[in-house]
Amino acid sequence: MKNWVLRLFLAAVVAGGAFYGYRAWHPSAEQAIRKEFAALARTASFPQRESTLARFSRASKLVGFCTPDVQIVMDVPGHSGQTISGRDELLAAINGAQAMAVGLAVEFVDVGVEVAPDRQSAVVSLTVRGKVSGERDMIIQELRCELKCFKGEWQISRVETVKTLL
Amino acid sequence: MEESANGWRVWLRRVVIGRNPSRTLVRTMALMVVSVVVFHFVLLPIQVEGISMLPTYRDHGVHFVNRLAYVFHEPQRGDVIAIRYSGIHMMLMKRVVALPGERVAFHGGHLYINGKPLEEPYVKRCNWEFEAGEMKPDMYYVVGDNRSMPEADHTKGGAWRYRIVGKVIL
Repeated sequence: MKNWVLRLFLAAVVAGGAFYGYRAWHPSAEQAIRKEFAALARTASFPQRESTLARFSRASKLVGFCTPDVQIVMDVPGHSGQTISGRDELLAAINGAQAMAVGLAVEFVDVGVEVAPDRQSAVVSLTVRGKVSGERDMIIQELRCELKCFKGEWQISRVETVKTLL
Repeated sequence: MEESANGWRVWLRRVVIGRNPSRTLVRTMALMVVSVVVFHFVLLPIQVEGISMLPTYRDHGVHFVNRLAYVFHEPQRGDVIAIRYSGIHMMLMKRVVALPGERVAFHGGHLYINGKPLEEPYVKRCNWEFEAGEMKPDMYYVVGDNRSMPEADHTKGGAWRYRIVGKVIL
């Protein structure tokens, strides 16, 4: 290989590394939100065998991802519409759901982030893929989430289900 | 003995990286670029999960979505299409049975479009009974081929044109 090709390759590697390092130390609002949702998916997933205490702790962690006045609007075909308002209602709903499900694996697919020009709010569209232990079919639901930034931390203020087919 | 080992090494090197390594590198890179372009922008590989398209498409079957199918014309009745959720990594695979402006209803398991029964050789009979109403402009009514499953468990409905990714082929 010619000398200048090697130099060019090394320069590209160094520039790429520097850019990656900069982005890792100074994440953009979009990156921070994506990281938040990745953490949310990890927290929402729970194994088949888990103590009740661990599940309660998991539920309170999940609530921490949301603003105190969070609103969750669910309108899924085949089920009656439901709205959850505030962290207390959400905590009760999560505990109820955890008691019914034996285990759950949650994944967020195709996460699209739109940050407002003032960088204080954002809208996230995503698809939830959930697999309940022992069940053959997966749960797939498209969601639209609104987020607010409090002291540099992004929190979910509203979640609503999206009807893919009308 | 040593000569024979050397011969093998040369042969193996030729098989793996060819006579001219730089040309092989260029070919490999060109192949990678073509593969990325084709399998991302033209033919999207998908794996079926679920039984809603039985017997036409089986669970876990691998197929391709032609993303250019509707560049020059609109979806046609009978096309099997891919409908995206929030992106193209999770999609619904359904058959178009009604076009924009048409009225859809199921009576006694038969599909009626604008009050006339539609012949569907690809489905088994069922007992579905409901009216989906009239499709809005830019909306296509889609349903799976497996009508033997309970109507409530079957994902179906009007799909906006902008959500249609392409036509399922192969």
